[in-house]
Amino acid sequence: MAVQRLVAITSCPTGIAHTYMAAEALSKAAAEAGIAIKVETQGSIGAENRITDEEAAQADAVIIAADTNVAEDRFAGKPIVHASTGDAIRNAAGLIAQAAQLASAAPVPAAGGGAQPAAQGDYLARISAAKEQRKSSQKGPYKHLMSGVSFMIPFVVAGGILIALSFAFGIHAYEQQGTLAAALYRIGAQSAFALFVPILSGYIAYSIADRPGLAPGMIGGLISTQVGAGFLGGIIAGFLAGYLALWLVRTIHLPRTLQGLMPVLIVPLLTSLVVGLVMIYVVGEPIKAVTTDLTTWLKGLTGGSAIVLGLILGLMMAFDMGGPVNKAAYTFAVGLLASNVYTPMAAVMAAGMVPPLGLALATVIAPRKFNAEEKEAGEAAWVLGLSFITEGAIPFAAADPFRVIPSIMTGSAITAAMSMAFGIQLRAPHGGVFVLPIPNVLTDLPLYVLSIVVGTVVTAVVVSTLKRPVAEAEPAGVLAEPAAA
Amino acid sequence: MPDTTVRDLIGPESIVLELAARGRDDAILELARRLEALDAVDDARLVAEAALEREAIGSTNIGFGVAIPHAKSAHVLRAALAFGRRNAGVEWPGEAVADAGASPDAEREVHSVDLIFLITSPEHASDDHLRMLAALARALMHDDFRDALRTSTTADAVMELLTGRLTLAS
Repeated sequence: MAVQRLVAITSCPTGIAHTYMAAEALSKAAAEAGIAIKVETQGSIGAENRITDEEAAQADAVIIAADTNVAEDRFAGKPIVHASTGDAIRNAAGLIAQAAQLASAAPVPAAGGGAQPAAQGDYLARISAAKEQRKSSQKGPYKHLMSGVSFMIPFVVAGGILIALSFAFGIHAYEQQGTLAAALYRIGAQSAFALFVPILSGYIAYSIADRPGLAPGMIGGLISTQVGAGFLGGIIAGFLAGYLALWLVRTIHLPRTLQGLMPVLIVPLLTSLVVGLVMIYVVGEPIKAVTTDLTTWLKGLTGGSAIVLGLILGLMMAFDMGGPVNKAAYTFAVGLLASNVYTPMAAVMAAGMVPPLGLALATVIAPRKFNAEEKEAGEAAWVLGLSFITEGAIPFAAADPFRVIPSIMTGSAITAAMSMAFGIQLRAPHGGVFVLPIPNVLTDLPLYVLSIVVGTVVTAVVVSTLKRPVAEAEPAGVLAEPAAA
Repeated sequence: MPDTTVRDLIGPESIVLELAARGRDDAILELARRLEALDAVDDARLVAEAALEREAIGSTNIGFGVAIPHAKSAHVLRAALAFGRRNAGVEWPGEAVADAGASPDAEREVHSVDLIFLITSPEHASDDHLRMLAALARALMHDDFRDALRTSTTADAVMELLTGRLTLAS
């Protein structure tokens, strides 16, 4: 594509200096990267170098470097990078690169963007732009937790599938020393699964405090598994280690000659000591009790209560399609894998697959209710749904949220409730249909497929009933605004 | 409307090429005393306190060895600027910025500065003054400007540098 165009807004509380330094740093870094940028300063003199509506419409991406609240409605639908003025002053090049990357992932139609036929590639790019945008707008503890979860997932996927493969030799085959089943179990259960809680805690702490947080976080996480506090204890250890390390870095001021010792010696040592002692003497026992009770309760769930849990998980998975509520349900289910509880994982993955699948089916059974773009998008949504990428539903939901979101919540809730009622267990936390054929990953493939199909059909029927024919619906082109989340 | 120039804000008398202070609080006070001697502020100690209150909200150590403490106070009689330099560095707690890359060197740099601009403004500063400060803030983001500040040998050379660089943008 042509030279990228960025727009940026800088703003700080006093509006005397940081606003302008951030603006200058961004302009300079953009010039060095060969990218066109216009930076509006909102300082004590008022807004200067204002971004016009036309410029806002033509921008490929937006940077908001502000320590105050800046109105962003002008940039609806554009990829936005959020940062503080301090970030912009010290790491302007990084922000420019991030914005440029988002811009190239999300080709934005020209101003007034009419109904252009959306190629499938565009649609997929918009999904990934929407995901990136959500990631970059994540804030505070939620961002840190998600950072930990994203580092943890590969361990759970590899471990879960390898354990399942070891069971393919028979459920107790791994107990025979020296067999392949024993080796697979050792890789999956005793290595990958032994690491996943420490990795979760370690990277929560890393996200908060950078490098000095990593070691204490991982150590605290390992202790959590040793004392039986599981992933809940791991999350606590991660936040404790991260905020403590950050506080120490900011509080202890050593003579210059000794400052090099801070990140390698002083902060990790003190933080590990405190976090370790807290985990062992304070947090360990009560969280162990909570984890044990939760595990026992979930394992014993049958009938009505299983269905209720399924309904709740299903509603959460569909509600914001990959947003915080969805991720809360997902993290809950993945964390429980550490305690050998597998039914919520099955329910959550099925419920996450249903929204794109149901909408894809709806475009086929009720073509008059969808515009040409949405019908094209429907073809891609099949693949996204089968791959457990719930975000595939976002463009439909963004165009018509009050009809689409209740429909997908209904379908997902039914699917998850069925999966829970059947007691289906899933050992892999991701991968959609592609992990299902692996032996022992799933306990009951036919009933699982049935649950997904029922939810998909319900979603399609409900959304087709609620939606109005396309002629009286909103004009085409709304799809061009991804994730109005 | 009378044009504000750099000379309305700063003169050779408020430029200190080798600060005595080794720490942040002392450095701010040292610069505030200069402004007091020039009748730009009526109480250096209270103005320094106002600047420290601002530091408590968020450090004005902006990295690159530069800090720009500022005070808005009733004890400021006119908008003014003082510049202090200390080649051996002044201890100045900064804020670690996420993703800035946490090498031990960077950690060390974060807490020490050698170029300090104390900015004082009365409760109601004129836009012209604010524009001048904005221009200074922008200039400080450029390596060549900072390097020139570091290598200037006289207060007059610093004045020349500032007047040459800080022109009022339209």
